[in-house]
Amino acid sequence: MKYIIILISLISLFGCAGVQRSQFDYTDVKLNSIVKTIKETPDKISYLKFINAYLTSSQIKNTKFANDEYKKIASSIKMGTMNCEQYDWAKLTSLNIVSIPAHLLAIECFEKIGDLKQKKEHENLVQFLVTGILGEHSGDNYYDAYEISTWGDAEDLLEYAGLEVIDSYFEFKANRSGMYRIYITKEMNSNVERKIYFDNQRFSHAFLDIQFPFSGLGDHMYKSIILSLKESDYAAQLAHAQILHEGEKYKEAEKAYLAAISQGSKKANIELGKLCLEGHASSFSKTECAQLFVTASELGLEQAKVYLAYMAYAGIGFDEDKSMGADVMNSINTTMKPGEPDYQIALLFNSSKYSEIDEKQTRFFLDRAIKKEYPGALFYLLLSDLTVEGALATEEKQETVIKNMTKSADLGYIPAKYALVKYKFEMDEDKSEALKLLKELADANLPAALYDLGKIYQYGQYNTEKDELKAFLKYQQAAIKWDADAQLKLGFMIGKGQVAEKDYALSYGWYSLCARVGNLDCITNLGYISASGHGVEQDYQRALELYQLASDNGLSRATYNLAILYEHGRGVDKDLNKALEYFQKAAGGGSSLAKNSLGLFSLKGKVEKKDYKKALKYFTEAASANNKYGYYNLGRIYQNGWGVNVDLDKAYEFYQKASALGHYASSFRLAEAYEQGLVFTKNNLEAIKYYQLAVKQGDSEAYPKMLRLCKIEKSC
Amino acid sequence: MYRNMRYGLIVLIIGSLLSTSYAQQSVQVEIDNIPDWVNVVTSEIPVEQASGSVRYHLYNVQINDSLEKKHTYYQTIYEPLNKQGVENVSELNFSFYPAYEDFILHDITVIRNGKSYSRLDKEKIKLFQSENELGNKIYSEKWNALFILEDIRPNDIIKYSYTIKGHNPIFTRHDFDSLHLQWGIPVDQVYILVKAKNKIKYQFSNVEHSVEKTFNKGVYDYVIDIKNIEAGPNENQYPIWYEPFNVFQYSAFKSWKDVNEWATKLYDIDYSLPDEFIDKINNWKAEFGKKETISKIIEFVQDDIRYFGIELGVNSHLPRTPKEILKKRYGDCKDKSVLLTAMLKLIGINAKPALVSAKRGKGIVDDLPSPFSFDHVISHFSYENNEYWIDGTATSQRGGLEKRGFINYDYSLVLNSDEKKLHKIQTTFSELDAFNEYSEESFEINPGMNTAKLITTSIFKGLKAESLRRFFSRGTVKSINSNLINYYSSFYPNITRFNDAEIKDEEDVNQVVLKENYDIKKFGSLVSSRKIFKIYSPVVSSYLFKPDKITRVTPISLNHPVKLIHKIKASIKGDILWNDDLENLVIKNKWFDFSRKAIKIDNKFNITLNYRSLSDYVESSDVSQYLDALNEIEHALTFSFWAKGFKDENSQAKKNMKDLIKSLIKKPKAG
Repeated sequence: MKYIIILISLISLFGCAGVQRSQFDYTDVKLNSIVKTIKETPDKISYLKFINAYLTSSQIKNTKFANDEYKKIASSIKMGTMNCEQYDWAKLTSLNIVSIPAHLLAIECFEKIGDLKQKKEHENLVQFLVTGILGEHSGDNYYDAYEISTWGDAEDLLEYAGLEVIDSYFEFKANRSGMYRIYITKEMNSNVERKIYFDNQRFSHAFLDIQFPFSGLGDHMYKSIILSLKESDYAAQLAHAQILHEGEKYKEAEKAYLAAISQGSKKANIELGKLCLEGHASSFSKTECAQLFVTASELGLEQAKVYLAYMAYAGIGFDEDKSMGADVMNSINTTMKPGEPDYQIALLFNSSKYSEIDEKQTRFFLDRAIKKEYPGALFYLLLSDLTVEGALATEEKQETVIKNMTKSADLGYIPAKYALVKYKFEMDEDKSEALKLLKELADANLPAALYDLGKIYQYGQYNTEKDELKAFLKYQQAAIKWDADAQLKLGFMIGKGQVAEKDYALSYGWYSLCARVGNLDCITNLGYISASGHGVEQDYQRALELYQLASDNGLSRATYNLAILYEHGRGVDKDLNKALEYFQKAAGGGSSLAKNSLGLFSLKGKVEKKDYKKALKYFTEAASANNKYGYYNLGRIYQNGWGVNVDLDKAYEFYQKASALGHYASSFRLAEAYEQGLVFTKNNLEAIKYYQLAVKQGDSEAYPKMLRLCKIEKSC
Repeated sequence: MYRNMRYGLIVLIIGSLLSTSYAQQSVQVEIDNIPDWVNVVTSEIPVEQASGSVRYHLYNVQINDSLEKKHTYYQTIYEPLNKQGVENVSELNFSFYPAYEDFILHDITVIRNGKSYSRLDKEKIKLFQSENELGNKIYSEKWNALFILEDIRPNDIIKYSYTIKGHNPIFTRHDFDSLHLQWGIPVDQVYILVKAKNKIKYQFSNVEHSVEKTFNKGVYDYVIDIKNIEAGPNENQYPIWYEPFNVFQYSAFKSWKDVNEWATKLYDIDYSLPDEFIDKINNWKAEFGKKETISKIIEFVQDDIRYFGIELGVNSHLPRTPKEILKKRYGDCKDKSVLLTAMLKLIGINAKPALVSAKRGKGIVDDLPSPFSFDHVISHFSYENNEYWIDGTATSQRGGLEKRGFINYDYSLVLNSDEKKLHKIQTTFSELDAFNEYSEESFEINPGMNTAKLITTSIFKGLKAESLRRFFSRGTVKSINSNLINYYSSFYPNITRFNDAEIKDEEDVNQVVLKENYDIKKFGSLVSSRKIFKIYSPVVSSYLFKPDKITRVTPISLNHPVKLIHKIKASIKGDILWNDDLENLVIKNKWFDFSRKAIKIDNKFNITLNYRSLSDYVESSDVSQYLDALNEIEHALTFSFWAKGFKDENSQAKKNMKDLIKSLIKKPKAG
């Protein structure tokens, strides 16, 4: 079963069996065979199979040469210095099989030559490639981006679709683990603007020889791609500038923005304008920020006018001029959706980035956006209203919230749709409608929806059949779209060998990805792996640092782990006082393990003198949180009469609860009790059952005892 | 001058009309039958459809060099295909030199619908003297006979024939010539006959054709009869030495030595100088020494003897005596060469006239030996182990022998020498043959005001200095300044001069220094509300050559040799927001060697451009690569940057910014 799952995983994830790609040999044999089939019978091959073969072929390293060669040949044919018969088209098109222009040129030539068979083969390939790229995606969002190889491929596709590229920029996800390219396009002779997302991360990983999708762990999207492209690609230069800007390297950011502008980036004008509005530009006064927005606007980015209107309304850079602000807003053309400029200016007024927050203006523009039925505004208002105390106090208020959520969702706003699904799962008695909507969102590749659906499969919720394989695959889909919870799940499942084969390195990789975005559980799990040395070199010092980080950010589990390190002097000098302090902190945060540990400290008098009462209190608290150790220790207290009268019935009742929760020592004690006829009537068969349970729960001592009894009873 | 090459029927048929003509008594047109020695050519009129406005059916030239005088018979048959064609061919224009040539018209016939109509009418022939060459300061006594064909309609077939009897008497023999076999239009048939007493050598420039040779009664006949001659390339801008059309060249001269002997005899004249002139030269020598006296003599011949040629008969090739030249104070290239020879001889320099081709340069190197290759004479001498080639017709040359510009005609026949081949012309001083320019431009740019002050200093040497010296000597201060500013205004339309140009002619080193001062308004262009400034190198750009026709079969002529250094300094009073890459650029190919170094120090750019041409032509097969190289260098000649005034938040800046926003609002909504 696990073997099968790994195969599936390899195909869909481009091999998740390790962070290194060394298993790929870049041979073209497989690809060539697949291409041959596609040429003849394209329906027999899945796009995924083809693209995986392509990504492990030598072609990915030669795309530039292939493109240069194509241009050379295309130009020779256009100039008439070469004719169609003179070139080896199979050679040209197989330099980079995914390059559509080369196939189109071959088609044109085969038509001229009259070789209809080869013409048809290349037509099949083009059809296959275009359908593969566009087929199952909308390109409307990063998680539903069209997957291509090189950016040139994206631009070719847009050209063939009759779209004019107005501007282009990169968008990072998950702290630069993910990177997408957005093309702002316009249909020829039309005013309809559309942002189209493209994703070439699998190609980039293959090109960089890094296991997908872990390049972010070395910041390779930025360091290896953006930095190497920035001199020739304005979008990369803009991304570089934005990263410098985020890193508060304002002077360098300004320089890079200016370079991006000079290279042709339109959006860079807006981004530099923002830096200017922050007062961080060295060459532009706040007054002069306006010039940058005017430029962006003149270049066709209407969004820039929102900033100009904001400057006028808020009096930034020059005296407040509401009339001019209104004129600017009115001048925004229909490339922005109705209400979108109002919504965006509302967000600016609600930000302290450029000026003090102006709640009145925020509300004013939000209301205007809502009047124009801009769905984002509706949802935004709904969320901000929910933060007010008593927002859902009355039925009427609740109804308003639901009404707005539904309206925003009906208008197609994805976050509202997702919120509505969550609400329905919470409130509806019949979850089928919620489940249907969730599946729709998951089908649209929304990462959070994929994660939720994974959970439903994992636990068999809402009358859904429990299916760990399906769960795993949904988590996987969400994880490669940067959903941190899904990455945590995958890390856990792979680390435990649950569904997929146990792989500590891969588990570590997933935890590292979600740790990059600050997921405290992931950080703690990384600490745990370091402490345990599973798949990595044991490093308590690193574990301590990671636990400390998560603990400082309020994760009790991490604080508890930190306390353990202090208690045992791992990676740090043994310090029971400090351990006690962290146990108390973790217990205060609700950690039942910490409560149990505090009970043990009191029981043993580890820091202060023995205090059975306190111990009983802590164990009781731990047990009440269903902690097996708490039950076990309560059992011990009553068995031994520490601070209480000996009460074996009670003690074994607690052992039974602990055993049921997987505590092997409790199971062992129960087995002994049955074997020896203590508390219970002697019963070897029951004893064998508990020994077996103890073995299963990890107790090796129980095994010989179990064997001996089995021999006697001859029943195992 | 020698008679120009015969450009055949195109020149003859589509000649330009002159406004007034005077037939003189002494010049006459004879009407007579076709000579007996002429072969009758029967031209079949093809039935296939032709394109264009005129279809040329036959071009028939028959030359009889076996007679005492050269006789050349011409016959042409053509057909206008439409009204445009009728307009193009209704005027027949014949050229001849009455001083030694007779013009005999045999036939002018129009065939309409299969019937022939003779249009020959002596009264309708207008005779007038050619003024074309007067414009070139040459008096040649060339005449034109014009006949206007009336009532010509499309698809009429026009036939005419005539004979020119005689040749320039300066040629002791006349059995050499050069005939075009191809033109820019297709021709159905070309027939050539050459009759000669002696065997001739012949060659084709581009395409070989069979030549039928016969010998009868002591006369050799050479016949070329070719059909369906395709049009040659209708291209221009090819090097002077390149012949795009197929040409048939023949000559009975056995070697260049024979030609040399003929020409040397022409220069065997009285080289004596007037006494007062001898004194003058001796005084120069005593005062300035021999070397400087050579320069003074050259300068005297070039600048004090006015250039004017009389090409009457023997005068086209026969020089006048130095005494006569000095008396009249004018002369053509032969005269100036003879005078130089005489004057230099006086101070012990053995100068010799050297025949060259100004029109074809190195194109004569593969010619058959004949006087036909040459159209110009210069002087050659050696001094202190260096060879010198002096063109007496050049003007404004200054400085010592090592500084004077060197006009390279590539090959020469040095008279009175034993050379069996043409002599390769070279100079010892590598700088002299190049157009040599050093230029500095200094910009002070105020991005806030969008203005610039431009101060330029240019140093021109050698040939370029001489060319400018001539230009400056012809103009007034006003016209010179106007010309200079016009040059810059094509790059900076809002340029004004704030001082007259300062011209310093450093004659002793043959160098002209030019200083100019300008104010430029609207220097940067407003690109999407940004001021983008472009500094361009007109100095280098003006020497680059971009062909009008890219797809071609002929090579492209390039300016060569050229050596340029252009330094540009730009100081910016404001913030430079972005600038082109400052990386050093090097472009090297078959045609030129270019480098750009650019550095930025604070708010100043220093850019240095170096250009050196490497070839005088581009092969037609290399045009695409040449254009790429041209694009690359054009790109490198432009240095762009984006600049603004210093950070500004005053009330004026605020007002400006609001105005900018308002202007944006006023633009109509795109959506």
